[in-house]
This record gives sequence, C-alpha cells and structure tokens, in this order.
Amino acid sequence: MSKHLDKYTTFRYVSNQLTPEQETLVQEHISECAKCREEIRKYRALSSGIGTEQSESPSIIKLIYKSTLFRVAASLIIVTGVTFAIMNSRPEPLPIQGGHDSGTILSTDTYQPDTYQPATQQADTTMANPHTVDTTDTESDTFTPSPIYYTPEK
Amino acid sequence: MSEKIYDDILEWLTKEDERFSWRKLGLFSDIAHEAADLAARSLREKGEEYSSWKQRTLNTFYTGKEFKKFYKEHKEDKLMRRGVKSILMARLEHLFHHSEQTDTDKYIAPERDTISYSLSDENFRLITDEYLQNGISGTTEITAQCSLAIGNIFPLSDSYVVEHLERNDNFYWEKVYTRLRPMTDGFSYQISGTNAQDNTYDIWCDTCLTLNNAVLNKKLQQPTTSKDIISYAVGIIKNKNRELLKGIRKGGSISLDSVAYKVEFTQEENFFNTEDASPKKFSSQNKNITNYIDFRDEEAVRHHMVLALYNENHPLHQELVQGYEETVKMLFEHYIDGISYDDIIIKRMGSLPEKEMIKNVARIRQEVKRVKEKLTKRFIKIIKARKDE
Repeated sequence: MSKHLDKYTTFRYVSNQLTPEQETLVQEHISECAKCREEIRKYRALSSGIGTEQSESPSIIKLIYKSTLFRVAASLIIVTGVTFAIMNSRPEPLPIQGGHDSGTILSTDTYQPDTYQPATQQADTTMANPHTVDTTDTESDTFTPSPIYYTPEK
Repeated sequence: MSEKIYDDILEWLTKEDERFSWRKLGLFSDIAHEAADLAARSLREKGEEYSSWKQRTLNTFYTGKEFKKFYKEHKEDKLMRRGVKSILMARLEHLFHHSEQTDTDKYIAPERDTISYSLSDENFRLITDEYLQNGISGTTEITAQCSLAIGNIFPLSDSYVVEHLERNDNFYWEKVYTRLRPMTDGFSYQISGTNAQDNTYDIWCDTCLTLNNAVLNKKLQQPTTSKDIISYAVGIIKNKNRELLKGIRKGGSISLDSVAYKVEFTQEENFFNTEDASPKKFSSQNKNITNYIDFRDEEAVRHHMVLALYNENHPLHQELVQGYEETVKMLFEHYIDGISYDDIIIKRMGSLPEKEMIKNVARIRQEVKRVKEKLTKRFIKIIKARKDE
C-alpha cells in the first residue's frame, strides 16, 4: 500500500466495514503515513462530533417535562382546576319565593342573576372626566420598571 | 517506550473499541492509559511481521483483561453483537466480491448485490449460538470463529433460498422484488415502449404479488430453482405489457412502428445481470447506493452521512450542504481542526468585547448544533427519496 488511502477506504475503516485482515493492512499503512493517519483522525473527529447529537444528554428542563412524576402532577392540577371551575360555575340554589316548600331547589334553567354591576364602572366615570386630577398619586413622576423586563446589570 | 509503538497500539485499541464498544461495555475506560501500559510490555521483535506483532499484543491484552469471563457476561449485549455482525458482514462482502457468481445471484439477486452471501437474522442467530458461545479468549478468536461459520454456511444454496421464499421469508423476497424493478422497466420499454414510471410501477407491483402467490402456493415446477422463479416473473411482466400494448393500440396514442422496432432486438438473456440490464440505464435504480444503507442502524446512517459531508466529490455532497455551507465550514473547523468557538468568532469577526463574544459564541454553538440535526434529517430524506424512487 504505497499510495495514500482513498476517502472511501477511510470511511470503511472507521465504520467497521473492512475485514480484520484489511484493517491490519490499513493500520500498517498509517503506521508509516502521517497524512493518512491525520485523515482518519479527522474523519473520526467529525463522525463523533456529529454523533454527539444523539448521545447529548437532554437539558434538565426537558428531563423534568418528560418525567412521569411531572406528568402525574400536571394531570392532577388540571383535573383539580377543572373540577373547581365546574363547582364554582354552578349557581347557588334559590328558594322558591312564596312557595310552601322553601327548601325545594330550583333547576339552573330558572336562575336569573341579580343586577349586573360592571367592574369598569369606576374607570368609565374617570374617562368621562379627563381633567380630574388624582391627588393621591404622590409618586407619579417616579419611573418604576416592570419586574418582567428588568434585567439587572452584571 | 517509543512513540511509534505507542501510536500503533493506540490505533489498534481505538479500532477494537470502535468495533466492539469496549469502553461502553466496561472492558476498560481509558484507551491512552491502556495503550501506554501495553506499549511498555509489547515490543516488536526483530523481523516480526506487523500482523503477527499486532495479534500477539492484542492476545496479551485480552488475556490480561480476563476476556473469557467478560465475553461470557456480555455476549448477548447489543453492542457486542453489533461488533460480531460487522465482522461477519465485512467478511461476507469480501467473499462475495472475490467469488464466482452463483446461479441464485445471477437470476434473483439485485444488481451488484447478493443473496447467496447475505446475512439474515436467522443465520446470524445460528452463528452466534453455535460458533460464538463460551470460551472466546479475544477478538482474534471471534474473527476465527466467524470465518469458520461463514465457510460452513455460505454461499447459501439455491434450494435453501427457494425454500425460504416458499416460507414467505421477507428478507429474501425483498431482494427478489428489488431485482424485478429494473427488469420491469427494461422489459416494459422493450415490449410496449413505455417508460412511464406510473405504468412500470403498476406492472412491477402486480408482478411481485403474482410471483409471491405462485411461489407460496407452489404453482411453479417442483423442485423449484431460482431460474424458474425469474422465468415465471418474466412471463408475468410480458403478459402485463401485452395487455398494456393492447390498450395503447386501441387508444392509438403511441406509434406502433416505434414499438415494433424496439421489440425486434429483445433478448431475454440480456436481462440477467449483463451490461444491458445495468441499473445505470434505469432511472429507478440510478442512484442505488442508498439501497445498501441499513436504516435501522443509526450509526450506519451517520457514517454514510459523514462520508457525504466530508467528501466534496461525493454525489450527495452538494445536495446535503446546500444552504448550510458557512455553518458546515464552522462545524468542520470545530470538530476536525479542534478550533474553539471563541477562536472561530475571532477568525471571522476579530476581537470583540466580552459581552459580544459570549453572545456570538452562544449563537454559533446553537447554529452548529442545529445544523447537525438539520443535516441528519436532510440526509435521511435524500437517501429515502432515492431508495423509494
């Protein structure tokens, strides 16, 4: 083997496609040929570099997301939350006004909510009077950054 | 201890580890340390052949590691079996290329491929159970046992292959179907003048199903040979094409003169692994290098991808790296030349303030990581597309 190894032989050597006897011939050649030895090193380096993709350990966050405990806990939270929401959306039973049996529970279909009070009523009033000055706001000139966007200097 | 001896032994152990994954299996942990230790004990004697020196040194190494016990404990391990399989495959391939073509291969194996020297899971299990049980003292003995097993089992006889086809063994049927694909293209073009992929694909599918049914139900003459199988298949292809030709006549969409001209020089023998039947002539098999990649083996796919990536003259190189040239260059610099990401940034953008440097290093680290994933996905897509063509 006086010439240099071709790239296909290098590939077959590194990927275990040569017979052990052929392997020994390659090794005998690279024992004397620095150029081919370097080619094999490069090929190996690239191959293992690409290969780290599969063997790289996943991040801790991914591990947590994938863990059974996390999934069980998440399911429990969802189930509890949904149950709680359902329970709260159910109206309080109203007694029959003027009936003989005031303890009878009415079906939800007959439920009429009390007078509706919009939560923005106060805000609407303020909007109607744009010149109103709120004297209670003593820190209106001071800028306080939102903690979400605030990044402390390192 | 000379540096050269150390380098040689380091290479041997690296190769052994590459094939059998010794470090992962726990035979040793530090190759450099093992190589240094072995180099101090195993000098090459005057006039000793390189191969003899290697064998003697490795035998010393495996004896020192109590390999018999280790092998007994790990012989069923997936990594160990992969190493053994790679030796068997390499040896069978070598044998295939250096032996006279068998009748089985001549008639029913795909072009440039073999059935007679192919290793099915069944035969692999047979070899490991009968030839590679306990008492293995090192890789030299594994190699010797593999050679012995191959000598006894291969080439597979024609009757063995036909018997497995009759049992509907998909390992062998897949090869027969692959063989039929270019034949279908060839005959279809010769007989009916069609080279429309849709037509020939339909004919090929019909042929495969009909042939499989005939062999399984033993409709062919008994005892059946591989020549009988391929002759039957050719008969089916011809009939299908005659039907197609009748349809063309009625439709009158193709000039019958040109079809008749093509029929004149049809020679069945031309389609038995001769230059006329070369896959190069049929688009379906045009880039058939991909037919030999074992998609189940993640490492095999990776090795083929690295070959295409690293070798600029590889037919798939351009297609693989297109759009990622710059990142691939950085990937080469980092993994092959061992340049750190910091130095890669300095090389491209010069010296930067610390914050900028950190930001850019993180960016290219992420880019290289992403490009590895993208290249792998793209490579699989490319070779699968070619395989399915």
